[in-house]
Amino acid sequence: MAEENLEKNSEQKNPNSNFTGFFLLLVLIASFFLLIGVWYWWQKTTRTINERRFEPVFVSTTTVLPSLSPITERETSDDQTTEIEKDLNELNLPSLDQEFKEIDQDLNSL
Amino acid sequence: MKKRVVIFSIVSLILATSCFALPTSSPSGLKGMLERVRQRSTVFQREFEQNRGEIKKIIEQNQVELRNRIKNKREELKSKIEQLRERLKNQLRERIKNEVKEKIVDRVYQRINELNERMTNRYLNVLEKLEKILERIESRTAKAKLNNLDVSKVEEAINEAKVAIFKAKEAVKNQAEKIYQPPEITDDKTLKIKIGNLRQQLHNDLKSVESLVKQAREAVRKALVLLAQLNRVDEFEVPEITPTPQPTS
Repeated sequence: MAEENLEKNSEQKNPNSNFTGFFLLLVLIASFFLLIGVWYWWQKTTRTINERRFEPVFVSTTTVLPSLSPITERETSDDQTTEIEKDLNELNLPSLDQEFKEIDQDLNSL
Repeated sequence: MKKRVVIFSIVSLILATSCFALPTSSPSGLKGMLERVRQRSTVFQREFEQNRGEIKKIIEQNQVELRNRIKNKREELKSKIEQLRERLKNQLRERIKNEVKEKIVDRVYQRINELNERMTNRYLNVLEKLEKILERIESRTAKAKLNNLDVSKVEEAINEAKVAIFKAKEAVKNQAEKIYQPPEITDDKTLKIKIGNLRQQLHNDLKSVESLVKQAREAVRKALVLLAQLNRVDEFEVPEITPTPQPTS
């Protein structure tokens, strides 16, 4: 009689234990994704900080002398559009077919 | 209770996945002159030049880092390529038995690997020059912006060019780290076709990298054309004290 009661009790508890298991599994999965997310965000943030380690800080306006030297003027001349255009036009890509010439000659002699 | 669990799980998942989608300022993570100018209401010429110098330094440093990474990877691959070459030589010795053809196939395989290295180096050279040219375009654009010119279209083109250069660099890096597996040599009849296929594979790969490099060059050219269309853009310099740049719509 006592055994029967125990069996009945355990049967009644089963749905609850299933639900607790489901709940734990869901919490575990969610925590896992959350941890991965935090880790990924952390990696991204530290990488950005590393990449910007040489980022200059603008010197305070009070400490900077606004006087212009002829040297700085000369330094800025490389950003004239005519100069840039000239350099861009000189930027040619190598001919791929020309580069394959030797290989093709060898292949033809096979 | 069950409802709460489900809601909690969904919220956690959304939080976690949102971390993966954090925005970045530019593909390389480098803050250009326009971004720096945007944060300031006044800029002195000396500060401007100082910042340009720093940006140039970062660009050069990133370029050296990428070159070293590729160089190290290629050093690692050299022994693997040598192993594959030895395997090919053995197959040729066993199955072709023609010394002249053996030498030609071996030479072609060697040239394929050398050509890949040479071409990726050249593409990288072009992209490095494009990056420097784009920095100059950005500098001129920042000067125009500090003089209250509407440079929104140029800014957009500069950002597109940055993305194009970044994509092309990634492609060059992947191509430089590629190993071309020699084909399985079975007989004399199929030898030429098989080696020809390997040659074609390299050609196709380099063609697609070349296409990305060309796209990057065109993107830089577009930014330059839009910049040159601004009225008397070359005459502007950084004023001693500049007014606050007007927000672009």
